[in-house]
Amino acid sequence: MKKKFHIVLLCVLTLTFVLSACGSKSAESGNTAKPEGEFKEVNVEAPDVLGIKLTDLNGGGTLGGQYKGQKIVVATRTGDFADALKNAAKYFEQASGATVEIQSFPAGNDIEKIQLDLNTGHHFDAVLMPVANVHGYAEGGLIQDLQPYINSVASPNLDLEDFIPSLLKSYGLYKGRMVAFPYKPDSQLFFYRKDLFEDPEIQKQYKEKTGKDLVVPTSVEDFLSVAEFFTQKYNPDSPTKYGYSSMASKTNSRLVWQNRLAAYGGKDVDENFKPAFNNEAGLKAMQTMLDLKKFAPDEWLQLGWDEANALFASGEVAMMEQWPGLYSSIESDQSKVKGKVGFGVTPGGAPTMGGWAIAMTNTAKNPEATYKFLEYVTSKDGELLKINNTMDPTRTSNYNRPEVLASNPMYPALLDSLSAAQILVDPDVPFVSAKLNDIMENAIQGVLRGELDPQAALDEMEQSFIKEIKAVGLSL
Amino acid sequence: MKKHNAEKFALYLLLVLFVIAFLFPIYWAVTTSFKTAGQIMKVPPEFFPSSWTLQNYVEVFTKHQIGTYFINSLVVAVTTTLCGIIVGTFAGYGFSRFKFMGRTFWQYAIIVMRMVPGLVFIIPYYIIFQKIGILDTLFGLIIVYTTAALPLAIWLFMGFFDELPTEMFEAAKIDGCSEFGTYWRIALPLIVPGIVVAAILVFLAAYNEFSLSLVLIFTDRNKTLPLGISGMIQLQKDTPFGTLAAAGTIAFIPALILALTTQKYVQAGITAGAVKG
Repeated sequence: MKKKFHIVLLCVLTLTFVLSACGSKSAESGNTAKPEGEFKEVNVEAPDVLGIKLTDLNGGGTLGGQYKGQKIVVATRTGDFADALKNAAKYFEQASGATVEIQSFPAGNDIEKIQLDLNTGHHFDAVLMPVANVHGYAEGGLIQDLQPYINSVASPNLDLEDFIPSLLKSYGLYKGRMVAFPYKPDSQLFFYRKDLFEDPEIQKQYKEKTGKDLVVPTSVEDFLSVAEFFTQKYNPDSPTKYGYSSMASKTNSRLVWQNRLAAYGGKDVDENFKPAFNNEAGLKAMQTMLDLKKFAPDEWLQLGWDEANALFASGEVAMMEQWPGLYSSIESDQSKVKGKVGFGVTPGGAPTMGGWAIAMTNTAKNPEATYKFLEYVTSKDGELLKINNTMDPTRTSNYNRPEVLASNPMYPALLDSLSAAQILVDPDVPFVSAKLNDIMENAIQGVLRGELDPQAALDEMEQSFIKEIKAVGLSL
Repeated sequence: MKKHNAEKFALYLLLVLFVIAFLFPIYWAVTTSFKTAGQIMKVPPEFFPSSWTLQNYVEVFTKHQIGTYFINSLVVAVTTTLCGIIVGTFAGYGFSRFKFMGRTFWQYAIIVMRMVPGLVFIIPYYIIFQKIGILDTLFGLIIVYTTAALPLAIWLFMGFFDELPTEMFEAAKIDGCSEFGTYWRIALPLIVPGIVVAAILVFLAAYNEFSLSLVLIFTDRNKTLPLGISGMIQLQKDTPFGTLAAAGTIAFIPALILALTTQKYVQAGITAGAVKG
């Protein structure tokens, strides 16, 4: 018996030794930070995009195949994000000599997976993720400051000022450090039935009813007035059943409030992570949300992405606030509003912003090559390589190209919205952003369902925000 | 007589309702996979497609690497099943046939492992696999799935072996059969229906598993079907119902083949280990 025990003990110890020995491979082991390959002129050619010839696909002449033998692993979400990166990676590989592997994970599970690996596995050299997550990684020391690379190895064509300023500030900077480059911009847009707004008969009816001209609303007051006019419950002659719609199901409903919060001068949190919404701005935004409910579909609180878009595409809604992705539903063959929709900034002029940024992990095996990849996919020509994968440009110069503007009628409104946007859809509070979203959603749903009055909801949200933010040791 | 007919009618009605409830979603998924986007969103819906397209299948094979995912899933599920059956029958036979110290303790220790939610093991698996270099490999998945399947398999096989009369083993021994020979030539052939049932359960568990593969697999070349299919859904984009239905239909093929080929064993197998003699 004793002999058997010793054999088992020996086996356990041997296994422990083997495991710990295997574990000695650390992220820092392969320190090949500097390029090892020979620099040579490389000519990279890609098919024209939107009729534009891409002339700067060799990193402003700084790549030169000198990263040969180095491998970069980039993590992101499956779908368009991964496809766009894979497409750009082909040309980067030709120009730099490096190998790029894009690893992607399904939406809804990607955040946990990437967080786990950043903390323990260290497989990834770069991550392309929503801004709130990227800033969380920055707070946790999991991604690198890009400034040293910008100072030493940047392409002469980097031109940071060319990024839309609000994007570079909101996406790229965290606590004054440049931790990421903007990759995919996102902003709530205002979609309206252009055909109805331009119909002289409807314009006349509106004038008779309200004494005002029917114009695309920019102020909240006009927004509510037009929404009422286009709601059959209040105007039986309305050509549409509902004046307004959006996604108001749980996980989406906070946007209806956020889209007005900044318009009234509020914010979710200030620069010290202190809640900045329990004030007149927050209350007025709540009231506007309740006013909009009167003109929204009866099933509004059940509308998620597919349902809300299908309803708008069915022609029953006059105006909608939604992410740019609605465009593909509007333009689909099944849509009854194809070619009939106009685009603008959400009424109030301060839309909520989403967005994705690309950053380098602090365990990147080949940091210089990784930086060059980040720079490459966000360069002026590089970001046109992703435009066909629904990744809209983040640089002003690309919105100024006539071919780009002509490719999507939404782009002028998107540029205006991105420039005007102030609040991020996921509060920019590291570690607890998702929890704060839940808190907002619970409170907003409570108000929309009539279970909470607006002030009580704001009080509850503020208390919960403070509790969660304090719990992770962020200053208040 | 009238009462008897009414009972029969009610029974058949109930059966028909159950059949519809079970088969209609499958019918809907299969027909959706052959519809265009316009047909899928049509109101009122088309219960039988007015025209058929293979576009969704073309897309899942060309754009989404469904072939790779399918092969990976089959490799993982088949190997897990084989390992589970081999180790499970050995262990089940051992527990059933031999009396040894701590036998009851180990039996319950095994089933307790089954009671712990699999997700609890994710982080330890991740760290161990990372250290021994089998993260992002099908081999790693097979180890995890086999480990997860073994408690159920062992207990099922214990039940099946317990059913066999002791006299049979004694007769085999008297005739000079070795212990392995008894296991291989006498016991195993008698519990084939049980093996089939256990194999189906283990296969489907491995074939459909998502959470562990999500954490342990990184690259497209090693992704399994649940992981690959879930990646087809994108937020802020219309759900691709057609391609999802096509992928689902392809994923459904092994389950269908299993159901059709093993049906005769299942009935016997389900009840075989239920009552001990």
